[in-house]
Amino acid sequence: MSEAEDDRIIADTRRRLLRRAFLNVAVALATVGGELFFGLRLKVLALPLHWQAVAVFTGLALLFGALGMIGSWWVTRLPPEALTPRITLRQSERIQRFLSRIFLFFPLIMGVLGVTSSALVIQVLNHGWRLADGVGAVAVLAGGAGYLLLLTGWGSAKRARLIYDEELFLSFRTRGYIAGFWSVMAGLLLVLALGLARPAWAVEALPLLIAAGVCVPAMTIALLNRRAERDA
Amino acid sequence: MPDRRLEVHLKAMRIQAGLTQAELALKVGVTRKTINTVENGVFIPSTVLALSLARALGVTVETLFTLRED
Repeated sequence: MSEAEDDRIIADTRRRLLRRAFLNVAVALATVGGELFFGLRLKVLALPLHWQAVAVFTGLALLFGALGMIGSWWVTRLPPEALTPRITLRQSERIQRFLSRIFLFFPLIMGVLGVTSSALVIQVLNHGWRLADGVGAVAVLAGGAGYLLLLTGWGSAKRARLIYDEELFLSFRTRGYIAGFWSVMAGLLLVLALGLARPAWAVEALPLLIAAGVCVPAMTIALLNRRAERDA
Repeated sequence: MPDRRLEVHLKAMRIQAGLTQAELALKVGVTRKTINTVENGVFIPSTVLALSLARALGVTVETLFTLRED
C-alpha cells in the first residue's frame, strides 16, 4: 500500500470520526432537549414530581440516546482498510498527543469529581442516603470510571490497544502508574492521620485521594509525552 | 530511562539503510517518536524492539547498541 493511499484512508477516517462526534453531540442535545420539551408538554416534568413517571420518561430518553449513538456509530463506521495495524500505527502519534492533552485536564476534571464526591460523602454521613444522593453517586462513579478507562485503555478495542501499548507510550504509562502508586501511598498516610484525629474525616478525604490516584498518572504520562515530543 | 554506558548507533544504521524515522517506525510497529527517543539515547528499547530494529535494518543488535567500557 502506498503512502498516498495511507494518507487518503487516514483523511477519510478523520472525516468519519469528526462526523461521528458532531452526530453524538446532536443526539445528546436532542435527547436532553426532547426530554425537556415533551416532559414539560406532557406535564411529566411538573410539580409535584412523580418520581416513577420521571424515571420511566428518563429511561425512554436514554434509550433514544443510546439508539441514536448506535445509529451515529453505524453511519460513520470505519471501513476494514482503516482498521489495519499499519494505518493505526500511522495515526498513533497524533492520537497519543490527543490523549496526553486530555490527561493535562485531568486535575480539573478529577478535582471537580473528587470535591463533588467528598460533598456527597459528607451529606450521606450527616443525613443518611436520599434518592438524589444515590443518583449523584452513580453519576460520579460513572464519570470517574469513564476517565479511569480512558487513562488505562482497559476494555478498549484491539486497534486502541496498539496505541496504548506502543513501546514508548507503555513506558510512560508504567512510570505514570508508579508515580500514582507513591502518591496514593503518601495520601493514605495522610488519610490515616486524619482518621486518627476524627474517623469521619478519613472517609470524607478518600474521594479526593482516589481523584489524586487518577490525576498523578495522567499528568505524568502527559508531561513525559510532551517532553518526548519536544525532543523529537 | 537513559543509561550513560549505552552507545546507540541506530541513527547511522538507519541513514545507511536509506530509511526515514517514520519508515523505520512503520516497519517495526512503533511511532516515529519512539525511534527518535531511542536514537537520542533517551529511551532504552525492550529486547524485542531491539531485535526488531536489527532485523528491519539487516544488522545485528550489537551493531545498533554497544556498551561502553568502564
